[in-house]
Amino acid sequence: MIADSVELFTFTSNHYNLETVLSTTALKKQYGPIKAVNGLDLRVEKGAVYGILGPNGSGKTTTLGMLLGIIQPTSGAYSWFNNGSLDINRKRIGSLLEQPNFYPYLSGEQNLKVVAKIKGVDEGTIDAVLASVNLLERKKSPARTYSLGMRQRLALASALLGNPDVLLLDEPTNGLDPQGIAEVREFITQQSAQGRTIILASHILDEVEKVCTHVSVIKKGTLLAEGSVADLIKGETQVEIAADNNEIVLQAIQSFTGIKKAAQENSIIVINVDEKFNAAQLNKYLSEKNIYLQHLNVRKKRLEEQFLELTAE
Amino acid sequence: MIRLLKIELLKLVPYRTFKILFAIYLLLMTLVLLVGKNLGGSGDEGLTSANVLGFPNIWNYYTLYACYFNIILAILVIFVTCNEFTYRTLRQNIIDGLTRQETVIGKITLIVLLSIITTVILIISGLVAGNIYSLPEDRDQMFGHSGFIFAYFIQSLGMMSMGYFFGTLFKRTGLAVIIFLIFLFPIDVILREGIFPDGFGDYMPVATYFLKMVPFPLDHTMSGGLEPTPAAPTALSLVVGAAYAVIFCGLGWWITKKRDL
Repeated sequence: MIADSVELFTFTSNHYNLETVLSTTALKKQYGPIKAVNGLDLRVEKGAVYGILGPNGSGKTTTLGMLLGIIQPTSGAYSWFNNGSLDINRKRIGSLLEQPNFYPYLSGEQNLKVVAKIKGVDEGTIDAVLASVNLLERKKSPARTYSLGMRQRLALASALLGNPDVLLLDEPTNGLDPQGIAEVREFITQQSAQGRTIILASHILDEVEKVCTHVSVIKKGTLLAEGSVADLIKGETQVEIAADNNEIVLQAIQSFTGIKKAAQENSIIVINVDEKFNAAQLNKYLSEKNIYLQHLNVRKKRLEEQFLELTAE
Repeated sequence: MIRLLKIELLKLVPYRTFKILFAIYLLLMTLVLLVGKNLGGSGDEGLTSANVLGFPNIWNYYTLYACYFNIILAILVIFVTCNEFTYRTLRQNIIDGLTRQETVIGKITLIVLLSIITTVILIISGLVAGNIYSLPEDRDQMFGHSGFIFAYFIQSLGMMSMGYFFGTLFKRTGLAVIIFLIFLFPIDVILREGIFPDGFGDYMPVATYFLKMVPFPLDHTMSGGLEPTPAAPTALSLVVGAAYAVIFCGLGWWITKKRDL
């Protein structure tokens, strides 16, 4: 039965590139008066490295907890592999939720034996996944003797057991030293190159920007933005200008090329521009009209700032 | 089911606390049989070793004491259950693909397996001791009063199910063990003697397991053999005892199903 459905999966994926791995509809979790997750609609396509970006406490882990069956949603629904919220779906997902959880008195190998039994995976594959995270020599040591970085790697090895279609990683670099962080990012890139879909929750913009193809930004359980990283992060440029009389400036720039939208905010005019815009040309253009700017500032990534504001909390 | 049991054994067998507690249990199970050595006498009346640890009365007396050792196994089950919360591995097991129901069934199969093992230990050591202490003419009553062996099995199931329930409810080992012990001694007595004194209180869980299923046979022996020791536990006590085991496991299941992990 299981083998059949896996075969079916690969068959369809060869024919349709856009296959939904995960979708959520109005997913909600309420703890008393607090709305931890407030009506999330997400959609993850096969092969994506999908980032869920948001500050600590924005509902990322609660969302992932619901997707993994350990937190009961208050309302709404989610579907893995277009197969609803069945328990069996989780055997196709390798996950690392918050910190790695192991039986400390069992060795790394024994811990993975438990996971292999749960997933119904041949124990013969354990050495291979341990080798892929450089833990083969320490496989006989109890997990409690592992450093944080080693435990993180053991968790990644555990997530890889059973050759999952999806890797779901929650803050995988949390608490790691720079080398550990680099290793985890390298790991994500490798796994993505092998065709796995990756869902990565993080509060670090830089991390998401470096490894993800798609991103959704959430805050207080609400989706702020969703799209490809290229569109969202490298998207809009904004220009701020100000002169003695902003009214005149606003009128003057209406015919200037490359301006999508201009609006006055306090004493500054904020202009959304496209790639045809040139700041020097604008300056020259205005001075020819005898308007002299007191302030001219090109802000590159408005969303990045928004992200940073979010993640600064 | 076998797969779930194998998962539980992978976690349990290397667990050092399990080895220590089980060794203590085994030690007590064998040492308690030595009391017969000092009872002395070979007459057929009163508290003689042949009367207490010979067939068939050995099943009355041995189960009476062995019952108390099940408290150790119940505490072991509390440890094992609470570990899953402390190490956050219950959550991890579910993330890795078990259903909530399977995590409960895994623990129940483990409890059943441990109960079978303890009952087998009881039977083997009981047979050995019985053969040593019995008067020659009583040897043919080897499996007389063996209803108490079944009572012991039910009691093992019930005590460990109780441990499972307390462990699931309180999640933290220390808290669960303390409340379990309080429930075992004062609470049950208060319920039995103070709140439901007439009849019903005798069938509170602890009273059922320790007083009703394996009644204290000393009166019968002290009377100089005039009154025979009871030949079997009452059917009602067995049914009630088994029902409690089901209720405790059922509650554990219900909590696990409802709770965010």
